[in-house]
Amino acid sequence: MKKFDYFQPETLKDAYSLIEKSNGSYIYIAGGTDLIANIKNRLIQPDALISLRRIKEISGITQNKDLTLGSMTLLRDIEKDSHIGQNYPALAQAVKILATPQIRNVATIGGNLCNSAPSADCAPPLLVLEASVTLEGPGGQRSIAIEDFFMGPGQTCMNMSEILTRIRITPPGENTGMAFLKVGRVSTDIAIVNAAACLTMEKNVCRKCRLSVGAVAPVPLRLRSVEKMIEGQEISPELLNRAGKMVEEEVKPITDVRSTSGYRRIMSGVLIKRAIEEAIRRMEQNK
Amino acid sequence: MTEYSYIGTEAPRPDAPDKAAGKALYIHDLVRPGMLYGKIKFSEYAHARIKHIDTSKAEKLPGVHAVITGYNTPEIRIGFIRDNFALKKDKVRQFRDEVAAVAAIDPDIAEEAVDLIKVEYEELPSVFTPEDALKEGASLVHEVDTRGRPKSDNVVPVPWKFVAGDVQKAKQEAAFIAEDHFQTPLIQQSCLGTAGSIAEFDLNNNLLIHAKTQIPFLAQNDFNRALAAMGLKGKNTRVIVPAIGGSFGTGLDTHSYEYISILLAYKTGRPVKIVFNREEEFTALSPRQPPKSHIIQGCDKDGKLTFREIRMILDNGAYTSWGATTPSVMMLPISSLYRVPNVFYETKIVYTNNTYCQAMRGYGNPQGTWPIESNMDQLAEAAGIDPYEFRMINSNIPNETSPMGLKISTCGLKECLKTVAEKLDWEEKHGKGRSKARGVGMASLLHVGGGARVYRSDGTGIIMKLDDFGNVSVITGGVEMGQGFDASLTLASAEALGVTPDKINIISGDTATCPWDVGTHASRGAFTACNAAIMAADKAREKIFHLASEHFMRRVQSKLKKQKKKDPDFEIPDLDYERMFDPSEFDMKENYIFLKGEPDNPLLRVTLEEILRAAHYKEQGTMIATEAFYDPPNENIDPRTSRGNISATYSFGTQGAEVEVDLETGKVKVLQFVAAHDVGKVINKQTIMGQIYGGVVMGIGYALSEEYKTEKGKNLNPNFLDYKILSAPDVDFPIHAECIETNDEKGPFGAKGVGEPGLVPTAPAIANAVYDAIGIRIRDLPITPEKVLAALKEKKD
Ligand SMILES: Cc1cc2nc3c(=O)[nH]c(=O)nc-3n(C[C@H](O)[C@H](O)[C@H](O)COP(=O)(O)OP(=O)(O)OC[C@H]3O[C@@H](n4cnc5c(N)ncnc54)[C@H](O)[C@@H]3O)c2cc1C
Repeated sequence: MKKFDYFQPETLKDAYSLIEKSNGSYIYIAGGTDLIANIKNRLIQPDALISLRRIKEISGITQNKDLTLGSMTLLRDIEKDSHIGQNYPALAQAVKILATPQIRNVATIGGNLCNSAPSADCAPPLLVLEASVTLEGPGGQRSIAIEDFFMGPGQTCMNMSEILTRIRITPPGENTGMAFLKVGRVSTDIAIVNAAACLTMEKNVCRKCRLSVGAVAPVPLRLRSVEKMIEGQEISPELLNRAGKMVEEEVKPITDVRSTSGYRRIMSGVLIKRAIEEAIRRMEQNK
Repeated sequence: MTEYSYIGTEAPRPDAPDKAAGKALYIHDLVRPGMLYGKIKFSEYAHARIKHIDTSKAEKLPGVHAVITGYNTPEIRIGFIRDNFALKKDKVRQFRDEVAAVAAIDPDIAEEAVDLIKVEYEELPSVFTPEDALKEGASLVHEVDTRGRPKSDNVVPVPWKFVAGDVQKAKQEAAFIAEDHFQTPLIQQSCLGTAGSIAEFDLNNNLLIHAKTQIPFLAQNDFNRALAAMGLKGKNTRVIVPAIGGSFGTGLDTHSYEYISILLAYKTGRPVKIVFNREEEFTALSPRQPPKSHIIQGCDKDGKLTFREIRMILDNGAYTSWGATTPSVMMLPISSLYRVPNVFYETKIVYTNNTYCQAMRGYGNPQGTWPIESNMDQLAEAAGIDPYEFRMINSNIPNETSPMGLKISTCGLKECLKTVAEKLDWEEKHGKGRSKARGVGMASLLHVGGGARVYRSDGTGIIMKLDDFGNVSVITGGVEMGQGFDASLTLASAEALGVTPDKINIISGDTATCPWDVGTHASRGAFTACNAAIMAADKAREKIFHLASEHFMRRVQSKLKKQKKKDPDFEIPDLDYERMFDPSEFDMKENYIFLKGEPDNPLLRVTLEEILRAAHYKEQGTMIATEAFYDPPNENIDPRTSRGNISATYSFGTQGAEVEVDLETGKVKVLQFVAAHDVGKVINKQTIMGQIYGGVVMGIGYALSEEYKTEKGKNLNPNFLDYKILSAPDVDFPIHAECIETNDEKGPFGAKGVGEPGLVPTAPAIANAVYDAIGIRIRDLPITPEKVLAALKEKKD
């Protein structure tokens, strides 16, 4: 492992001034569960790591009108938060089965997004919740929709000096149910496919539908055409089958050591169907 | 039934607290004064000629003490047929071939130095399947054999064949026949503690090596041979085995990395440590062999097995380890699991440019049992007989010699089958769950349970040494590697000697101080060591009772006098002092020596430590240290006939699974699992449960998820992110472990070996359950959702 410097700024400002002073390559580190593995595997060889762990302003969960998650919030803290468990079960479930307790004790939600793995488990729930993310850098602050954040495997729309500071979610309102599902080879696994659904219902008719699948394209996908097809319809087994087929056509999975493109394709359809069913079931339970 | 004080109890493992608290010292923790760190440069090709190795840059890197290659070190041949070399010259035959190595002051510098070594290769055509390797004109992995004679093909000169009766005739006469092809994947042992060694020389050029091995004494022999090759003939090796985080067969061979640490230590004059990281553990250690089997079995109209024929082809990889002898163990179930009079078994082991294989827990038995037990269900179906009934009809029985010459003494197979059927509610469930895609399945095993005469000796030594305080050092040649050896030996020693288990201290893992042992393998550790402990304890008791006959009376008398002083009303009883001079009148339990039949009178018993001190602190005194060497009554397999009673007794077992298949995802979910094992006798309840649970979970991993994936000889998943063993959250179903006690007279307190059986029949039990659930037979492990889904689709089309 190549040697690197390690900085622990206490404020965003201090972090920016470190960047301005630095002349080599640097990279932010949150929990390090993706980053350190990448350094050890020599995928990246930065001269310096700037830890975000001591920056209090970008950590923690707050619920006002919206739910705000500091990017440095530990996955374990999200998992334990009863408000999130109650009101955002898709996110809670994604976090609950992400990696192991040991990993969740150090890994952050910001790291999961910024790492931009197509399989990132936090992505599908945030996509169906239409979350927005705040990016801050020496040049100022901007807020963008989560859907515009991911650019490809390991690539986001952030520039080098920007920090993801906050994730904001607007509560989805009445008569809404949501779910997150994942298939892996064993219980603790990177997703072969993961999926989330969030549906607002009026009796049997779906008023609003948000669907997402991960690990089946260069970025986690929002399935807009499938959503459109479902909105305004009654949810029936035929409709679900049609949705499953559409999903299979929309995804562009690859074959790798974990799975085959064929299996991933079929699983995307199956998971979306099941996620919709579970979302509706949950909504009915909450009535 | 004999009543025991400790045998069968749930005593905690003596090694557990230190391991749980992180205090146990593994090879990773050890630091020797002046120690350097070694690192190996591995091949970048599956098959290539080495044209040039440039080490100049590495040598110049500050902190580097030595850079070695096959060209500047003596040739050290290793392996079962000595077709492997510690460092490769001229040519590489697999990706993991060691072409150079460095020793440096820290691991980072060593790694950097390895990167600076530049090797020029000329790539050669490669063979990656045994079938391709056997083709006319296939590229030769080895151009010459170990004696330097030219080779004309890629066949490994280790053929195995077993023939009994007349299979051709039986085929013609059989009422029902089932035939199929089965295969298993390469899998990795997945030890949590990776491999490593620290080698160092003293000023007389004797070698001290800390090594992760299951065979310290055979390793000593191997290393002494290497010393001779290095020009140090007559010098000796002392092998010390640190705490081991799982070995599962990886420690049955000595490995290139160990010899490289020796070469580097000799060159630098410093201790040199090589420890594998996880990636190296996957890519540079040997996984379990992947055989392909063609099986045909037949039975008569009543369901009695009449013949079994298996032809097997094994991918050896580029070199030959002791793993090439695993077919000799496969021969056991193939010839003798269930009663079958006519048997034909033949193997072909073939060199390829894949990673070379070695033994893993079960020593071939899981690979042998996979086709047998899958095909048993197929044959039962062909004959129209329930698979449980079919197994009962053909079950082994006690006191019968099998066609291979296995003298089956006790045999609890029928009880095991029955237990599984009952626990699974077989009658209610088998064949009745299709509509819900649920099914039950079972499979059985036969394994060596009384040692295994693989080498010329199957012996093990024990020394029992008692101190002033009645503490007993039980010094053994066996190795604790996580299986619970120390826990079993503690209880057996305590029981046999008559002391409490807290007085027992197991000392192991040092060839200089521990008595000789052939190796901890073949589920023989507890069986042989506990038998030896009983022998050593008997000798110790004899000596102790002899001392008692000298010292007991005086002690008792002084006790009685003391009592009288305290309590003047106390009447000194009329005692039979004659008896107290007769060693044969004594007995010992829970650290007290007493006259037979009078264990409880506090005035009439003396502690062991009192007697020991009396013996020590006396003119012309003595001490108690006894030794015993136990070599079980078993035989080598005769290489000409493939017959021989390889084990003193045999372990049996049946496992059963209830599964549910998700028809949309193809995922097999285990709902419950039953493991009924004929263990002879439970020595330590906690340890045996650990062995069975652990075996089952490892076996389910083999069945459902584990696969060492390669592409053109290169491993694609050298980490636990992509090599999937099961972990705790996967075991979300009950495992009912049942120990059937058959009390084998050869076993220590009746016990048989159980270290390996837990994972032997697991995969076919699950595959049979999957078949029962959805009518689909998976023939190649693991049973992945992809395969199940593809098979479901094929069935529908
Ligand atoms: C054994 C294991 C199992 C895993 N299983 C899963 C799984 O099941 N599902 C899953 O989705 N992931 C899994 N992961 C991946 C990983 O744990 C998660 O992605 C985790 O959330 C990453 O968070 P982190 O805080 O450790 O990120 P880090 O490793 O610290 O950072 C990841 C990347 O994001 C950048 N970064 C982090 N925070 C910020 C920020 N605020 N602003 C700008 N850039 C930032 C870093 O520079 C780096 O490039 C697993 C990892 C391991 C080692």
